[in-house]
Amino acid sequence: MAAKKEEKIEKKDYDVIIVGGGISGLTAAIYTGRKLLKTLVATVDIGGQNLLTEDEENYPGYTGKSGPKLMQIVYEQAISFGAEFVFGRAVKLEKIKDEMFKITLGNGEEYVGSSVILAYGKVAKKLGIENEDRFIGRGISTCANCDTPLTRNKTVVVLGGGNSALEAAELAAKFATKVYLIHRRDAFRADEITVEKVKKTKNVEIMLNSTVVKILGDEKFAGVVVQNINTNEMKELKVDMMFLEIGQVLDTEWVKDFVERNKLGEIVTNKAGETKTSGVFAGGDLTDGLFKQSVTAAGEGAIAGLSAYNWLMKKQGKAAIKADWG
Amino acid sequence: MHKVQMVFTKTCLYCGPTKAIFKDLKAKHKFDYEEIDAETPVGQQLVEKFSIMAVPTVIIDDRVRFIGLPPKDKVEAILKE
Repeated sequence: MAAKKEEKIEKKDYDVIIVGGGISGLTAAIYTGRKLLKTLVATVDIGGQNLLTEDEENYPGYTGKSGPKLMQIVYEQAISFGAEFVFGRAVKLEKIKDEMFKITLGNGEEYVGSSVILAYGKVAKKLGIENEDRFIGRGISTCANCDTPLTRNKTVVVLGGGNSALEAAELAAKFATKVYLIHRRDAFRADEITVEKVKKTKNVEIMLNSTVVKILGDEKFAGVVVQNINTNEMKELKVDMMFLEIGQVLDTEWVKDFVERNKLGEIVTNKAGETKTSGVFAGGDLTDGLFKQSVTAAGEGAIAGLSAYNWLMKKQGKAAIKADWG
Repeated sequence: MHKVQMVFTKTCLYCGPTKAIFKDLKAKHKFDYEEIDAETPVGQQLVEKFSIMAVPTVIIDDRVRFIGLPPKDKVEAILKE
C-alpha cells in the first residue's frame, strides 16, 4: 500500500512511523513490514533494554542468553521485511492535514506517516543537579554496560541501589581500580545474591545512606561531593567517572495531547494497542500493560503493528483482519 | 581524505545505529573508516589518548568530533569539508 503522496514530503511519507527500536518497536516493524506497509522506525538505539542484559533466559525460542545478540537478530528480521530506520530522538508529534501525523526528531528532521506506533520504552533517570547534563558522556554515564570497559585503571562512582546499580558496580570493579557504590537508603533493593557478590568484591567501597549532591569540575569532570543523609556530613570524592543507575523514567510528556496517561505516566491502551487518538498506537514498557517483560513487549508491539494495519485498511474501506487464521 | 575512527563497546546502546549511519555515508562519500573495540589494545590506547568516557565516540582526523549517537547531517558536513 502506498501512502498518499505530496510532492514536498514524498520521500518521507510512510504508512506507519514506529518510535522506538527496542523489542516492541522492532516486532511492530516486522508485523507492519509483513503487511507491506511502508514502515519507518525512528529511534536512538537498536535493542533498547535488551541490550543491557546478558541473561536473556526467558525469551521463548532463544537460548543464546545475550540480549544484544537477540536484538541483532530481531533488527535484521525487521530490515528483511523492508523497515527503514532513522536515528534520533523523537521530540514532537503533530497531526497535519489529511489525517497524517508528523514526527519531528531532535535534529529537526521531519517525517510524515499515516499512523504512529509509540514503543520507545523508558529513559534513564538523572539526578537533576547542576553540571549533570554538561558532563553526560564526558565523565557521567547512564549506561554502565556501554561504558564500564572505558574505566580501566580509573576510580569511579556508581550511584543506585537496585540490581542495575549493583551489577554496574560488579562490572566496573573488573576494570576500575576503585569503585564507590553510593546508595541513599540503608539497604540495597537488589537481589541478595548480587548484593553478597558485590560486598565481597575487594575494590568496591559501599556508602549507604548517602547521595551525590554536587558534581565537581570546570572543563573536565573531577569528582563528586557525597552527603550522608543521616549526619549531613559531606565528603569529596575525586573520581574519574560516575555511573548513574538510579532507575528509569517514562518520557510521555511530548505525546500527552494524543494519549491518555495513568498516574505513573504510562500510556493507556486497550487490548488492540489503541490510544485515545485514532491512528496512534502504543506497545511495550511505556504502556499501562501489567508486566514489563521482553516477551510481553514484543507481543504488544505485534498487536500495535497489526492494529495499525487494520486501521489503515478500514480507512480505505477495506476489510480488516481479526485473526490470521480467521 | 578524512580518517574516521569509531570507538565502540560490544554492549553499547548507540553503537549499532552509529555503525548504520557510517555504512550509509560510506556509500555516498570516500573516507577512511575504522570501527575500534574499546576493549582491544588499540581501543585502550585511543581511550587513554582522547580521555574517552562514553561510546560511541567518533574521532575524525585525530579529533573527537562526536560522543554518543552522531547526527548524520553534521557528520556528512564534516566529510564534505
